[in-house]
Amino acid sequence: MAEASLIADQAIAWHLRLPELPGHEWPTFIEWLESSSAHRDAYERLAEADAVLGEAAPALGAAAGVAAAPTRYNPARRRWLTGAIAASIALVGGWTLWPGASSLQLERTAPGTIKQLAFADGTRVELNGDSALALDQSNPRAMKLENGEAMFRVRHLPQEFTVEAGGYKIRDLGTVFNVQLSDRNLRIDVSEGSVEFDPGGANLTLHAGEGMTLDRAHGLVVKRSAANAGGWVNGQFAFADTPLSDVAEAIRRRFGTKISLSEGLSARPFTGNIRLGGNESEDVAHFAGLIGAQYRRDGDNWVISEGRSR
Amino acid sequence: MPEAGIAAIFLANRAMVRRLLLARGIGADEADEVLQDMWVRIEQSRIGPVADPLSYLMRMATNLATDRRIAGQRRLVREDAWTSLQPVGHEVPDQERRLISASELARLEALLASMPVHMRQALVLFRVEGRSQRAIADILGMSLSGVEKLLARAYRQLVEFRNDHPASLPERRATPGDRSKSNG
Repeated sequence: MAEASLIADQAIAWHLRLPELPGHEWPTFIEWLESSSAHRDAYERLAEADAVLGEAAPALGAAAGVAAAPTRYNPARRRWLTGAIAASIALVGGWTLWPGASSLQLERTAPGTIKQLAFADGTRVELNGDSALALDQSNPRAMKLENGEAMFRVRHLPQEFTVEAGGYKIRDLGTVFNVQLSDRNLRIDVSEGSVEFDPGGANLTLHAGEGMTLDRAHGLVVKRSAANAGGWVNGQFAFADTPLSDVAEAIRRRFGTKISLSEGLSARPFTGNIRLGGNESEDVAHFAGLIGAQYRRDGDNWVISEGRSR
Repeated sequence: MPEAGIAAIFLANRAMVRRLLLARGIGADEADEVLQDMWVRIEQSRIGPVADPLSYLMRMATNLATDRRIAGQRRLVREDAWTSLQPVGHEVPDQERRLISASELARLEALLASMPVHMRQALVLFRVEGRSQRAIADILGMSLSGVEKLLARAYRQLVEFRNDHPASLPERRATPGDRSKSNG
C-alpha cells in the first residue's frame, strides 16, 4: 500500500517535471518507467487521468447544460469553460491578481457583437464576438487577448506593441494581424508586415501571408500559410482542414448563432470558404448545405446532423 | 535552417524516442508508426525553432503515446474485445465513446469545485493553460515548491477520482504484457 502510493507520487513528480524536462534528462525518466511495471502502470493511470482533464476542458462548456453544474457566468456570455473551471480561470486570469489593477480595463463582447476600438497612437482593433481584450491604460501598446479573437491594425512606432494570448507574447513589427485564442489552440495570421511569436522563447517570425497554430495542450507549433485573416469582420470565413466544431464556434462568436453538431459531424474536417450575412436561418441553411447535412431549429439552438435536408 | 536542425536531432535520437514509446507501453509496430508520424510532422509542418529540440521531441512523443494508448483503449471497446474479458463491456455501446461522458464531466466539475481555490487555480493554469510552475508561482504569489506540492496533491486527487470512477474506459486492463505486444 505504502509503496504503491510512493510510486504514484513518483509518477506525479515526473509528470509535473516533463513539460520543462531538458532533453538530456529524458533517459532518466525512461529508465524509471522501464525499471518496473508498477512504475509504468502508475504513470499510465496518471497520464489517462490527465488526458481526461484535458479532454474535459473544452467539453465542459458544451456539456454544461447536461452536467447541471453551477455556472457563475452570465449566460449571455457563454464560454467554452463553465462552472468550476471557468470560475477558477476567471480568478486567475482576471484582473484582480494583476499588479496595479486600477489601470487595467477589460473590453468584452457578447456573441454576435463586434467592437471596434481606436487608440490614440492610430492603432485599431476589431474585437470579435464572445471575446475579451485587456487593456493597460498605463501602457496602451501592451494588450492581452483573454479569449476569443481580434484583428489588430497596428501603427508602427519605435515603442514596441505586444499582444499576449494564452501565456505567449506576440510582438508586432508593423502589422495587420489576427489572433484567435481557444482552449485548444492559439492561431495567428498575418496579413501585412510581420510579427514575432514568443520572443525569447520559440522566437518565430511570421511575415505577411504566414500564420501559425499552436496546439496548447501539446505545445506544438505548426507554421502554415495565413488563413483569410480578419475575414470574419465581413462575415467571410476561410477554413483549411478545420474541425466542424471550430467552424460552428467561429459562426457563433461572430453572429451569436448557436449551432450544435451531431457527434459524427463535430470532428469532421472542413476546408473551404463560407460567406454569411448574419440572418440566422439563411446562414444555417447555407452552412448545412455546404457540408451536406440536415438542420432543424430547437429553441434558440440549431441542430445540424448527418443526412440531407429536404 | 531550424527545420533541418530538428530533423537531424530527431534522426540522431530516434532510438531513444522509440525506447520512450516502448516504455510507455506502445507496441513495437505502433511505435514505428508513431516515429513515422513524427517524421512527417517534422518534415512537412515546418515546426518553428524551439529552445531545446530534444526535449520538444520527447514531449511530442510522450503526448502521442498518450493519444495512442487512449485510442487503443477505445478501439478495444469498439471491437468488443473487452466483452470477453469483462462483463462490464456489455454496457458499452458500439459507437466510439468519448473519453468522458456527461455524468463524468459533472463529477469532474464537482471534484474541481471541491478543491481548495489555490489548488484548482494551479491545476487549471498548469493543465489547461499550459503555464510553467514558475509562472504559476508568480501568478498565485506562492513559492515554487508550494506550487509543486499543490499540483502534486491535485493530481493525486485526480488519479484517485479516476480509480473510483473508471467510467467509459476499460480501466482494469488486461495484463501489461498484452499491451506491449498488442496490434498486428
